[in-house]
Amino acid sequence: MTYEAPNRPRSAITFVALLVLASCQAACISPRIDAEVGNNAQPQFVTFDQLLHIHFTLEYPIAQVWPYVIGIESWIKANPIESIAGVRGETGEIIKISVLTNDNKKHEYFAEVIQVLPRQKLVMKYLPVKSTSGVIEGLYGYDVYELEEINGITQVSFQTYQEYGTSKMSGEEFRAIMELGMEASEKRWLEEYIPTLRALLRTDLN
Amino acid sequence: MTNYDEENTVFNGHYEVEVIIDRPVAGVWTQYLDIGSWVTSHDIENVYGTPGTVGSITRVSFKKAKEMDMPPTHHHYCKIVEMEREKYYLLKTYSEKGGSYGVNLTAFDDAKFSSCNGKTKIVFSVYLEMVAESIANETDPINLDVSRDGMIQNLENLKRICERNLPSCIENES
Repeated sequence: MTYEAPNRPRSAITFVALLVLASCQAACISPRIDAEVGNNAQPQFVTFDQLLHIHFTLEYPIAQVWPYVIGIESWIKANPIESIAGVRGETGEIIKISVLTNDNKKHEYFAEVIQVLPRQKLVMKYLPVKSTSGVIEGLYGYDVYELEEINGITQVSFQTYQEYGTSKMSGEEFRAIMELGMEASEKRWLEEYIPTLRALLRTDLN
Repeated sequence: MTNYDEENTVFNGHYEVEVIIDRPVAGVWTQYLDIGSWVTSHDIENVYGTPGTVGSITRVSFKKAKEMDMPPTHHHYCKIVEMEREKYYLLKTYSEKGGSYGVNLTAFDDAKFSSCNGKTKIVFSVYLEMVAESIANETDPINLDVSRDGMIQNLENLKRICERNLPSCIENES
């Protein structure tokens, strides 16, 4: 199996380059693939896919639940979330998430609402990381909230697809840290966010 | 420009297509995993890991790229990042280093399977980001029609193959 050098016309690759490429293939199939599989003996960009699926039901109609989907800061409280631009719950809204790290540094992440189907679906895209003071140098991904009402009960599906990238640590170290973060995030959903949302919905009824 | 604005070289796209296949989900799932049998728009070659398992990577080459005069490279990669048998199949798509088809692309392609009365519904969603200098200079709005149409055709292929080759629920019961 052979691979072309990334983005270079075949004719521009010299015979020597082909030999070098061929000898390299066993260890590093392609720089882009290496980033994916963590073949990073040398410092280079590595990625981690953070994927989370949370499904739960709320004993309330969708009309009552939807405002909380477009206002997640009232029940997702691990990190401060603010709507900083655009119209709340509409395409183009910009959301800022401030994360305080263990060393007391504040990192800001931004997301944009890119799709809204009222009372059905909301998609947010994470915007590129511009400050590289932390470990995370690349972030690409989406949060997707989907709602469906059956007999007055709302089924909520939250999914996040995020690719994080760094060149500041090895693939193994990065994976270990990110996996811990993912476990913590899932735990928060189950133990904090969903109970808080349920409590808010109960309060609404009173 | 603020500290959150995306460059004007970025295009964000999203689409969703679905198909209902009149066959039980177990058989449809197995056929779905044999991506090369129903995706006719692209050539698919496994380049890393065990095919059809989480972590494996395929090199995917758009067959019409040359005909459509797309810039090289004429392939991208797809990595299976997650799956749950008969329920869920998630790919991460990304370009070759330096770009594919003239853009740097990253996408999550998510297929959700549900089963009802012996039929299978597949909802296929794409969340895509493309980055290229040329995007900033585009005068016409970019759309994903070619990708969406290609996927509709591919899912129709899957439906045809499944409904032709797999026993229906009624046949299974008899």
